[in-house]
Amino acid sequence: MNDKRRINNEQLLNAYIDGELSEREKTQVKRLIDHDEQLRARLAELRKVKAVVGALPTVSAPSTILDEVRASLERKMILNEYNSSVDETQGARHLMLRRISAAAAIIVLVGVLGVIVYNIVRVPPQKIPDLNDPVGGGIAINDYGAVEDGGSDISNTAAAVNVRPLVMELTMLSDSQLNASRVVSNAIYNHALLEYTIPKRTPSRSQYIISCTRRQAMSLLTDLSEQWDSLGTASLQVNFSEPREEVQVPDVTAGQVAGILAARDRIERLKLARDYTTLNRMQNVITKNSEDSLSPSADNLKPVQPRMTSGQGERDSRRNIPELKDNQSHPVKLTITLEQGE
Amino acid sequence: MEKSAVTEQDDNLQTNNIVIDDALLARKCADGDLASMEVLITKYQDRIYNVIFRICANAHDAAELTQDTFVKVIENIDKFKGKSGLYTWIFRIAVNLTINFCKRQVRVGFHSLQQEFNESSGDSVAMLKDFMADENEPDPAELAQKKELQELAFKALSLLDENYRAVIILRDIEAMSYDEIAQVLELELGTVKSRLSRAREALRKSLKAILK
Repeated sequence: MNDKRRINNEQLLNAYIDGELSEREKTQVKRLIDHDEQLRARLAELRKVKAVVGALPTVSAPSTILDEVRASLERKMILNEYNSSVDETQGARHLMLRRISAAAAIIVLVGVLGVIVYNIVRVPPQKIPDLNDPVGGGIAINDYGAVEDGGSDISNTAAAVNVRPLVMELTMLSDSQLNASRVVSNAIYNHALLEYTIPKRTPSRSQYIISCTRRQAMSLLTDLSEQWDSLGTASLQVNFSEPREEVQVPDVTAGQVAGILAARDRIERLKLARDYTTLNRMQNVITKNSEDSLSPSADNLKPVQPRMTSGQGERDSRRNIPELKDNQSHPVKLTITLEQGE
Repeated sequence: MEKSAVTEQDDNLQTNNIVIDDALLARKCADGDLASMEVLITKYQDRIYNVIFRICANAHDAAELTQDTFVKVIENIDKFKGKSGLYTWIFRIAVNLTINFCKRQVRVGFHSLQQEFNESSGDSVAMLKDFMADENEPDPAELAQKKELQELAFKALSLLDENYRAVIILRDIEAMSYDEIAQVLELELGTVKSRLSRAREALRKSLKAILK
């Protein structure tokens, strides 16, 4: 309570000497100091403090203040003009450009990373069929070429995707394996099949493993049919899968090979192969019996050979080579083996 | 054709006549009139510098702070709404700048200043003793001659906290009323009274302490 009163009295005395009191307050203070010597002494000291501070001389500002302020304002003005001319539009444009560049860089980076990740995690592409597999194995192929309208053989690869190749093995037994080999190799060269052919040669045997399209194989057979007799005795093995089956056609002609090749589907192809097998065996039997029963002088009395009503069974005539109407790019693995006969 | 009142005032301003209206001065400064800015600076620079110098107690700092004050005044003159006097507004900027400056300064010199004050010369102390013992009202003209006494007062003032120092300088040197001090320092009137009372009490104690 005394402290509060003392503080109040202090503030009152200060306000008194500062002339901040009303007349009524002044009268109150005068009455207090008249009756309180201590307050009167305090008031005197406060007056002296006030007087001594008030007596401090006034110092004048340096004469350079005006010039300094002016120079400072000019510097700021120039700086503001520069900033306003530079950073408002150019700054915004620059910032926008940087943002666009950054976004583009991020998009490119994400794209590249995406490709990398895709290549890492994607399911491996289906295996290229092992064309050396005689079964044809139900393996999908995806990079077989096809000749369409005389174009590149390595076109229409998409059409060949997931198509099982037709696997045929043609074996020729001839008196002159070398001569037969020359005929076949010339035909392969003439039909631009060298790059799709794997040759294997031994002194008594030549083998050409040709991986091509049905159209190319047909074209090759058409060429070979003209010299079919010089190639010796031919037999054809056709390999079917699902269900797996091998059909051996003895004494096969170029037309028969072409007929099997031109068959529309597996069922027709299998039926033709079986028919040709039966037909050729029958013919061989008839021919053998005829040779045994007839004298050599009776050459003109040859037995009537069995014929297929479809006409596809006719032997050894180029005109019997059927034309492909569809699936020309269907893959074919044709193995031609030329062996030296006795 | 008669001149309008504003035009006449403009003429007074441009011819640097005695009466310069602060509101007009502020408006012309806000319009970018360089002559008015110079008038404003010339008009207040000494008072502002003096207050700043007494608060910060360093001539070089006071010059820079005065310069900063007027730059800030001119840059913000368009924000002056005339709710208080122009000079109150300018003083507010100056004192705020100075107090903030003082607070940022590491008070490494405080102890040396205290020591220097305590070790004041015998003549100064004797002069102060006579002054305090004198029962007569202090005579300003006589005090103005007593440089040693002023030096003691200045040192004692420098030992105060800058917030107390600002109040007592605005009152005893700048002779502002309590209301004006409250406006400049943006304080309640009661706070001004309290600070002023404490500042004088601290000064009184400092001055009496060296007499013992």
